[in-house]
Amino acid sequence: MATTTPTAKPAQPHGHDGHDHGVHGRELQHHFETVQQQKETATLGMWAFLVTEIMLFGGIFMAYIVYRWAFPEVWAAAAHHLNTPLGAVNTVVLLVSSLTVALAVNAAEEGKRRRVLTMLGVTLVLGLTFLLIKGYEYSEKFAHCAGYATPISWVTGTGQHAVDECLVPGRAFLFPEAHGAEGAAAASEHGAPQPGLGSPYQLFYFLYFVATGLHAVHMIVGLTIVSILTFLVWRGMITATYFTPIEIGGLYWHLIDIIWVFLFPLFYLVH
Amino acid sequence: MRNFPLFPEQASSFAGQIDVLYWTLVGLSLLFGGMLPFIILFLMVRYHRSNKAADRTNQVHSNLLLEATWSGIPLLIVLGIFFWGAFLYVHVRTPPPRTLEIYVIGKQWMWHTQHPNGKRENNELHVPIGRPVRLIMTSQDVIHSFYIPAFRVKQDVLPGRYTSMWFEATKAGEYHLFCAEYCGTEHSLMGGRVVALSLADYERWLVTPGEVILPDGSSGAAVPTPPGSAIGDPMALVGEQLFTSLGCSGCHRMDGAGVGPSLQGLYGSQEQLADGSTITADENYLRTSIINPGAQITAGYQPVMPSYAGQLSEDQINQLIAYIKSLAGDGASSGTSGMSGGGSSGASATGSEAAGAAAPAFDQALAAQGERVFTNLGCVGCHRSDGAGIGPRLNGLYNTEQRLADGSSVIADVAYLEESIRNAAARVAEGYQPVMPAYGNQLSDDQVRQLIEYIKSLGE
Amino acid sequence: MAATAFPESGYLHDDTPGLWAWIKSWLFTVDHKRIAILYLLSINFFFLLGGLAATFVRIELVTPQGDLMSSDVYNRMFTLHGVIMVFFFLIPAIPSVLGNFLVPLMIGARDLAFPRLNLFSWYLYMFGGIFALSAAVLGGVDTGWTFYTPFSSTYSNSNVILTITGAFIMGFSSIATAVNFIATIHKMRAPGLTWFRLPLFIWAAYATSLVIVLATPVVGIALLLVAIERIWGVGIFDPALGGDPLLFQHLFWFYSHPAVYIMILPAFGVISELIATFSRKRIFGYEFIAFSSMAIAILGFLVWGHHMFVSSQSMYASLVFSFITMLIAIPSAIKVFNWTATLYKGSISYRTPMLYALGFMGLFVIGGLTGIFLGVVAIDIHVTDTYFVVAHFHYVMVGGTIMAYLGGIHFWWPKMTGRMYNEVWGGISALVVFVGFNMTFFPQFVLGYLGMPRRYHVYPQEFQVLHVLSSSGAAVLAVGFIIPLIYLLLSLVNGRVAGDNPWDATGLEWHTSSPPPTHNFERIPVVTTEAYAYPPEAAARDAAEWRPGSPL
Repeated sequence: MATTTPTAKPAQPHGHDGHDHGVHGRELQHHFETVQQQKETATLGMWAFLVTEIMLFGGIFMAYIVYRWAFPEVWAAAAHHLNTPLGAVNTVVLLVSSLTVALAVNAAEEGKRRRVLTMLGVTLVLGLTFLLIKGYEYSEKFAHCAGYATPISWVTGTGQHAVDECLVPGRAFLFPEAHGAEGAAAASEHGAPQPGLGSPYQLFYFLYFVATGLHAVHMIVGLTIVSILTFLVWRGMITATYFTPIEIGGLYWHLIDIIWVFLFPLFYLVH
Repeated sequence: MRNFPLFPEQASSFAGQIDVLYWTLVGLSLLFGGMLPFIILFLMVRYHRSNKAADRTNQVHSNLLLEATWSGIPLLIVLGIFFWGAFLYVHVRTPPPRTLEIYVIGKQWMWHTQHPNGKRENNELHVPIGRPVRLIMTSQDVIHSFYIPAFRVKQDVLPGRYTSMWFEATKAGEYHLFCAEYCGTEHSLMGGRVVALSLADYERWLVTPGEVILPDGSSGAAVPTPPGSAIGDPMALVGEQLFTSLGCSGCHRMDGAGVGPSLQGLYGSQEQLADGSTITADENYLRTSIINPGAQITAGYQPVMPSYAGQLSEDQINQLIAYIKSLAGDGASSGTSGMSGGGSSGASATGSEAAGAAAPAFDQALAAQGERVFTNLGCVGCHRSDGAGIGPRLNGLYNTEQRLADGSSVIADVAYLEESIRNAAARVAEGYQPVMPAYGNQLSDDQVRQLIEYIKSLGE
Repeated sequence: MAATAFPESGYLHDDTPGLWAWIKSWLFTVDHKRIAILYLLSINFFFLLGGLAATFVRIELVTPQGDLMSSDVYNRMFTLHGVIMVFFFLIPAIPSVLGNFLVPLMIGARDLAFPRLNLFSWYLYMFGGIFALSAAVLGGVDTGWTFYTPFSSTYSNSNVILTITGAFIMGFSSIATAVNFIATIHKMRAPGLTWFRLPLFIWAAYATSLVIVLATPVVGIALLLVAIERIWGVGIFDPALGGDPLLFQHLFWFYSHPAVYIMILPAFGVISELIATFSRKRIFGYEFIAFSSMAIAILGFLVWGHHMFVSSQSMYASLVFSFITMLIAIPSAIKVFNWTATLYKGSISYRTPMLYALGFMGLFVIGGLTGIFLGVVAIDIHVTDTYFVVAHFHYVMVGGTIMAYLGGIHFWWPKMTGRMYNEVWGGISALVVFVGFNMTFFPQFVLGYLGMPRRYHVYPQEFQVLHVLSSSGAAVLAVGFIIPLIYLLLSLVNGRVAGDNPWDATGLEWHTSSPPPTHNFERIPVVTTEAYAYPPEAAARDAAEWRPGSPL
């Protein structure tokens, strides 16, 4: 070592003895120096992960842009067959849930345990509501494929009729309007439907199901996270000095919300 | 050295140009890549720790001028190389106005090529030297890539669209033809040879007997017509028949008074679209307009044309496009127009004589031929076997009682079927519109017989 | 640097007795160093597997006919080689093994920011590996590692979905590691360790992490879409189903080109460390090397289209991609020039890691220069999808990444294990790898310009001589890879105890014991100088102290 200058010199008493958990409290993990550093690190890590998530959906948005550019009129026609009112309700539900998460973080910062629990509870309910409505929308599409008007009549088995619309991509896909529509004499005479494979209409619903399905998977992950957070708060493991889990969990929830805010107009409100 | 080449043959007008650029790059690389290891070797030895004599004082750890130099000089060089390569690339990708057009269809694991006079080849391509050749290529299944190393050209061949490339062979000989894009199990066998011939030899070759496209759109063995003869471009002729039999001519009237735009002079022109943009009517535009007519509507027309997706084979689309291109007039290239009629004119036996060979008496063979006609004419497009077509389903039709649109009924016997083919509007089935074109005298008696035998053979 | 007794307090040491406790202490460890060792073992396993597949491919290509295996088996073999080497070796090799071990040590932290996430990433890696392996065991996959549609989505009848799932899961393992590195490097540097005092390996790891975070999810979604298209037969890439096959290529290369930099950037970092240490000198142009890593990371996102020059993308797009590809050559050149300048007036020793680093420079120069050939569109038309491309990316991936990986392993082996290996054999292996590598891949440049397409099971007679040359080189290369395996393993048994700083290096990792204690540092160091802070007279003194008999 003769030829080197020490790059570093021993410093500050963060040796073995200063390093047991009792000093910092249980929430500071051994490899961090301060609570502040731990919190900043966790938040930064979450942001890096959120970037990844955005890029994941970015691939779908890219496909969406390519095909919408290629088939603009198909996109406009296909969007009319989505249940826009339910989509709008879902948007409101998610926006409100974002608010409740933000309030939960705020309450955690102030150490108001009961309010944190309430807000997380409301978030859970709203998240579940979203998934239920989304599930209803999906089942509506599947019910049409099976020849029923609504999922309820499908379950009760009443009122089956011939399939005139099936918007679930696959061999049975059937878009109700004749391709290129109105004036095509020969086609519209028999209401000749647009058959499944190869139809650009199918691309729209394919992307719709993939994008909203992937979003729903994220919702389920988000709900799991919120449930765990609720449990942690209930067990008193979140305090006014240590509420990082709620903060980064909230970040994740906001991301899911933001992605939906993009998905809703892109799929439901195309003209 | 014959079996151990280190450098590929130069057999096209591009080869020399690309090789010059390549060798320049090799030279520059040797200068940099060759010099650098020697500098490193020199420094390695000079400043090895055992060399106590080396001066190690006054070390430098950063020098902006030096950094700028060794960033700037390579930057200038690569930019120079880029522009050289870019101009060459634009040249390689821009075909001259008059080219000999050859259609190529790739499929797992074979190349089909078709010359303007209808002559077809498998895994081979004959081209004349000294004449620009443009390949119009598509694939029936996965992505392939048409690669002729001696010509220094390669282009991926995609399903669902046309890609094209051009070259001008300069040296007679046989060269490798490869598929360069991995396409599955026998990828390495998907190739063959490219034969470059003098123009006279090429034209002689064009009329040698072999597989050609027949007037009914199918292909079989026959003696091809010579290029430039009175008969014209057989592909365009077949395309014209297809155009009529599919009923396209009803809307795309030549006088421009139809529901759809006139196709006269369309190819190669600038089309104004309904959304305000303009597009060059090239092969891909024509193709899209057949497969997915709603995508790019000509300004002033309604999106009423039905899609032909899945109803036409790649061959048939090529034929339709060859026909539409033949309507383009003088401005655009059209097949063999540049070719001189050098072939022997005596060998012009038309394909139908060969195809309409004496029909065996038993039904099976007739029905099989009928099925070909049925498919080639596009009947399947409307008379779909699942009953979802514009026309009635034909399975189990023969000799059953059918209700007609006027309320009467009829036994679907041979006479009725023949009448329905030749003059469909006469007795229309109940629930259907009289939209089927009359095939009147377009079909020979033999072909009608074949069709009827085929319809007979369709059981439930 | 007297050899001291082997430290018993290192991270490798276990207090609790019993086999099960020992297994648990490894499989449930959250210590970044132990996780690095887990990665080391599993990644080398995959490397040997991928190498085995390559061996079969090269043996088959000795003759122009397909006589060793059927075309189907051949296709599965080169796909296995590609998938394993790219997704399970090259991408994770340096970040997950060396990065995991070194990032906290080099910046003076006690662990990575998220230790449990780190362990989770290893399980994800293994899980993905099991999927890919089961695909191979159940009959293999024949799409090539690029999974081009519509072949992969519709036409192939092999285990595409299993393989895709494996690659997809492995992608999340990369992301977990990258998120960990970003947070750690940003927030957990030792006091005084500013950004411009960081070792260049850290800069490289940071740039790599950014690329991973931004690019990996895109290939994830592309592969997911292929799987959905395959399972449900609904089209997004197959034109017969209404899709666009080029969209897949765009999405795929948007990841897979940056992935090339995921593989090579950490290698640059390793080489910077080695060159500085074995020249006994500060690295030349520190800022330029650091910023060139970032420039490569950013420009790397804008060049994916150069994989698609003949795919029928528009002429203008090709020209733009070609232009940016030319630009990206510059930061790579800057690095090489700076490394060369570092040698000047240094005191160079030919220790094993340095031999690998010098080999790297030679091979990477060839790999980089041939990259310019491929970036020039007019030439690319002729040589793309031929052996020229194969040779080019092997020069970068094997000549670059693997040389740096081996160099790094040799450099930090004493730190990881506390033992020295036999340096005579080390030098021999570096030489054998260098020679074998050039024998294998240089003939392939010639083959490629002759027009030999890649992924060919049978080929025209006239290419045989060059193929035989290449295959014999591969045999030499294989020997070169096996020798280190033997002497490194032997060193664990009878290697000399290395001591804390056997190379006389300056990084923080050399200021703790070898092997380091579980929490890395007795005391967190305070950094007062920049990286590679050899004093001006260090090189001269090193040369002066050299005696015949000291290491070369």
